[in-house]
Amino acid sequence: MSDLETKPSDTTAAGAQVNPVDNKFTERISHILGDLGKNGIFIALILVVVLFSILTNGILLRPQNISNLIVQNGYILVLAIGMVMVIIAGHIDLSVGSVAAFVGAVSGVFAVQWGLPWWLSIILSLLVGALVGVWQGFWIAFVGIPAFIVTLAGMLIFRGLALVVLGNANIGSFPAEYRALGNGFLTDVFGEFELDPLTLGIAALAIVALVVQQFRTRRGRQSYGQEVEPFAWFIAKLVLVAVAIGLFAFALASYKGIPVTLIVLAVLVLIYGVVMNRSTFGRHVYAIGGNLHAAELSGIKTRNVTFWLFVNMGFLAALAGLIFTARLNLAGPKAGDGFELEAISAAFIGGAAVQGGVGTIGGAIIGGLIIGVLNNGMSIMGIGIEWQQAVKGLVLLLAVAFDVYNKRRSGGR
Amino acid sequence: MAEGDVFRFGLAGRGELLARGGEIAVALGGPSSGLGGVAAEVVRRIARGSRRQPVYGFVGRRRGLAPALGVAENVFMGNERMRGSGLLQWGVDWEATRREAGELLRELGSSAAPTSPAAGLGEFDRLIVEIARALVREAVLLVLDEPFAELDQGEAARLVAALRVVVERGVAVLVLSERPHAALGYADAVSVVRDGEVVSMRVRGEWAADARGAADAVLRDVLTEMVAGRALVSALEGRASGAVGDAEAAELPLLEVSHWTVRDTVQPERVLVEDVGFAVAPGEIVGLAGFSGSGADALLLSVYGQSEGTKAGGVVAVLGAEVDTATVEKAIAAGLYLVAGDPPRYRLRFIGGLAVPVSASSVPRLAALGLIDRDSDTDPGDGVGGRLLGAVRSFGRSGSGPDQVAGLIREFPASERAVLLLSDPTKGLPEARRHEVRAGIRAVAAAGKGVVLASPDLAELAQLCDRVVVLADGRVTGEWRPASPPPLPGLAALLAPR
Repeated sequence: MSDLETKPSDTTAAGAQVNPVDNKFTERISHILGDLGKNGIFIALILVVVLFSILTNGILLRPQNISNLIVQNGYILVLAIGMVMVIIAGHIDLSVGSVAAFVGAVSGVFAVQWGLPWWLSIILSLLVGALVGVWQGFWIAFVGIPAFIVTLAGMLIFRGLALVVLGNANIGSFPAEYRALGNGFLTDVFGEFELDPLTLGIAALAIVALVVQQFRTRRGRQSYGQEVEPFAWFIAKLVLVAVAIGLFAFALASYKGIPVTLIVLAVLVLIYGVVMNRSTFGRHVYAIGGNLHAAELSGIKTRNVTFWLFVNMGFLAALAGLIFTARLNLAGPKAGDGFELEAISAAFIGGAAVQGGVGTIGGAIIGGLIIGVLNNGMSIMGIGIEWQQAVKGLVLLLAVAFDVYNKRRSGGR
Repeated sequence: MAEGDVFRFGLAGRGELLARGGEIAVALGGPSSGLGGVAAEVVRRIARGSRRQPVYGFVGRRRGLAPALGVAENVFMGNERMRGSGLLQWGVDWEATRREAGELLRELGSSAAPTSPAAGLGEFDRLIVEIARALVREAVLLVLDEPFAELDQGEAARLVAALRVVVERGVAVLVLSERPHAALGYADAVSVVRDGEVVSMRVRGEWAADARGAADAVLRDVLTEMVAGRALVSALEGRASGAVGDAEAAELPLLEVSHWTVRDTVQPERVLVEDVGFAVAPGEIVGLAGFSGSGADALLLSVYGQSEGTKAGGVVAVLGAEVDTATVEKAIAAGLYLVAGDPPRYRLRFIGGLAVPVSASSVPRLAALGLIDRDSDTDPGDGVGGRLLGAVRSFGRSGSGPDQVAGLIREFPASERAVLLLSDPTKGLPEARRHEVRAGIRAVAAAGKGVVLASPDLAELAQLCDRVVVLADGRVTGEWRPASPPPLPGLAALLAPR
């Protein structure tokens, strides 16, 4: 490689030459408009929250409900992380709901029927999920059967196996530690307070970390001669996000503290965010989805990447199954019904592209939250499940249509 | 890297292609010369190659970029720059990725910004990014498949300069091309490939040392070698002894296409066919000759229901009256009918569950009550409809699609359509079936219908056609009659794109 590492030159890199614009004001306005387009999903989430706060007379934003929102949708968000990765690589996974049900049932056998310790049950269950991923990944990556077919088969296979494992009965009364995964809270670690100090402290840390990270990114871009957003707009966005985190933490702190599910989620988002942005594996996933042929010719082991992608999806589906089972304290045959559709919707609402190569973990999380707020808000309003389905379908269609329209307008093909 | 590494590519026939470290070697050959096989072999070696094999780079005609990723990331695809070293690596180093990509791209003469998305890159920058990627992979051999096809003069010169930078690093460059004019300008060595064999090899000294005269002579020889297959020579000899038939009297042409221009649908600035015109008289077989980028196929498919590209202008007239051929159905109604020997990926049409590479032409005949009767066991009747149905049925069934082209051509004289458009109808057929197809085409013409035959096989055109229109780079460069052909170098000069 040594012949490639030419010495850093004094001249600053060329970068994108910004055309001189006579009118600074119009430039700023157009930048903000463009930014709004790019952050469309985020704004959509805010709009949905505001809309349902009004429609539910503020019930949506009560501390207990905000806490519920996270706990109720945790498993969908976990699935959405894996699903968006699969979709970025240009595949799809229809089996996650069935795999979640299957692993939930298996964990019931481990933890309740065999009486294994809770932690061993969880580890073994996650392993079973990864093995399911190995099975599906083998057919997709090495045999070359389209993921749609393999996971459609998996949807049937693992739903069937879940029923076999359960043997026509539900499994209930899980150990308390196991149940905490779904509905536990980190409460009163430092004694009893009106507002949980731990929650507020973590939120403060998160805000500081966010601000530092944003400033570093901005400086990095500037030093590289890249276009950055106007400073005022940058600050305004930061303040907005910081306030949102603060209010969210305040709500949690005044209820029971941080849900365990949220901790699991936060860890996953951090890890997978780094994996997708900073690891070669993550970048290879983007490369494969963007142009499979080019990725292959660049020496990327495309089959291995695809294989591990599905192993990972199996692992996350297992985790989602555990969270769901823990929340209900019940492993039942109907568990996980329709999870795959909600996870896929979350990924697409969050900006993933059907043809692959595009999408982010953060986008998928926001997409999942939009679905969660829709579910939660409409339930509070007493809207029946039939209309909930119809509305969610419409939102998915509109979100993707908006995205397509936006891309076309900005000169993409 | 040691200079003088030699890479060899065996061909189906005699000889092998050589590429030397530090040199630009060009392999010249027409569409059916066997160069396509070399490209496929390179791709296979890269994709399936083991770790110990030398690293090859390949820049194809298809865009090898991930459009949503940045330019820098495309350069380092598969070889990401990491922070730290050895076992202690923690993540992709974006800063180094951008900086090094920017330096490499500038060295190769591209001003593409490392952070901009690859989707917006033009053809030149796209080539440079892919070349840079090969350098990052430390490729010792870089193979490019017709890289100059879509570049203008200035860009072509910049690409040559970039290739010079590449070979100065000791890399061997092998360019597969059908453009001898340009090749003599930049190549260190030129091989001509024909019918799967290496016909000749020359090194730069043979044409560059002397004055212009030598270069012109070499160019003429190379051109001749590219087209002068044994089959063509014997076909031309066979025709020359025959009578000079002057078929086109003052008759009204059956089909006349004039000023036809087609642009690429995705990149509208790219012109596939420019201001082309030709005419077919009743009973006449007109050939369209051209290399793969000539636009002959695009022309046929565009005239036939605008099945390829975006029509940018031109008129189709049948028997002197202007007709509309904007959709396949309208083209059929106007009396045209297309049979393609090769079902290219994007042209495959599914008709009522039948995957037929013939276009929808036969559907009106096959439909009963609007439904396509596919598997009926009853006798479809012995009318044209019945026989066509038989032909299409066997299309849908047997795997050997090209084998059935003969059947469709055989039935054509009895149909109501007046002009048969053929795109490489004998592709992939054994010699015996070729004779059958050719007899069928002659019968179509004998029945007073017009035939337009596009084929990369010059010998076939020479055998069948009354006139051959030659296209190169989307334009008509000339016309010749197999009965009184121009000398081979002249013919080659018409064919070779600039």
